[in-house]
Amino acid sequence: MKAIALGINGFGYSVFADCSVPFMNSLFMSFPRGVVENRERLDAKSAWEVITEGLEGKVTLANIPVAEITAGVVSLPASISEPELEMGEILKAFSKVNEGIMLASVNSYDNIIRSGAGDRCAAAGTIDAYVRKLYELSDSFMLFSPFGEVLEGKRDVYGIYISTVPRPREDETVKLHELPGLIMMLLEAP
Amino acid sequence: MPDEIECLSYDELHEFIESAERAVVDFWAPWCAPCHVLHRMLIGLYSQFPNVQFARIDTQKYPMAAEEFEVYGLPTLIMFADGRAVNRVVGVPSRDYLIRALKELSMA
Repeated sequence: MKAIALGINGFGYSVFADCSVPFMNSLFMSFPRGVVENRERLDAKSAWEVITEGLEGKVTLANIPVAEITAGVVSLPASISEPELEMGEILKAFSKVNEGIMLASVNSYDNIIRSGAGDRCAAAGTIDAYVRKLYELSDSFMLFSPFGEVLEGKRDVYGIYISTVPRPREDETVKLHELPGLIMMLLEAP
Repeated sequence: MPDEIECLSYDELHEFIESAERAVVDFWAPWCAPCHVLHRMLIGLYSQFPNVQFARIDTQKYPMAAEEFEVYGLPTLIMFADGRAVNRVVGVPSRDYLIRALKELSMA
C-alpha cells in the first residue's frame, strides 16, 4: 500500500474558478473534500511544523519547507519558483517509495503568487498534470493546502482538502493540527 | 463598490433583501468546498452588475436563514427582485450559466 499526501502552499479553491485544472477538478468531483482553515500559521515554515508534528519516522517526508533548503528525500531551495522542476523531483521520489505514505510540500506555487512574477494559472496547470501522475502511482491520495492564496493583497485563510479516504466531522473545516492524523488515515483505505 | 462581498448576519438579511431593488444572497458554510469556488466566481463577476447588490450568509452560523429560505444544499444562490425571490441556483453552475442568470436579474 502506497499513499501520497501532497500539500500545495497557497493553493485555494479560487484556482478551480479561475484556472484550468482538469485533473484536480475531477478529483474534486469524485472524492470526499473539505476546506482547510488556518488563521494563525500563514507562512510555510510555521504551518509545516504543525503538519509534520509526530510524523517523523512514520512517513517519508519530501521537500518540507522548514528551512531555506527543504527537508526530506527531496531537498530544494524553499524559495523555488519552478513547478516543473519541483514536481518532477517529487514524482521521482514517490516512484522510489514501495510502501507507506509520502508527505510532500509544493512550494513553488505560493512563491510565484507572492512574487507576482509568474503566471499563476500556468503554474496550476503544470502542478495539475503532475498530480495526475502521482495519483496514478498511488493507492491512496490526499491533496491539501495549509493556507489559501494571496488575493488582492490578502492571504485567504481557507485552503483545499481532497482525499480518497473519508474523514470524520465532514461538516467542519479541517484544522492544521488535524492533518497528521488524517494523513495517517490514508493507510486505512480499503 | 466594495472589494468584497458583504457577510450578513441573520438580523441584517431581511433589511438587505428588502432595501435592494435587485439582490443576490449566497448561502454558504466555511466547510463547504464548492461554496469557496462559487464565491470566487462571484468575486470575479459582481462588478459587472452594478445595479445588483451581492451578499453572503454563513448558514452554519445562522441555520435559521437556511430554514427560512428553504436552503437544502450548499452553496445556494437566491436572486431577489423587489424583495421577492425570482431565481435560485443550487451548486456551482458554469460561469456562462451564472452570467446569464445575473443578466436576467439585472434586467428584471
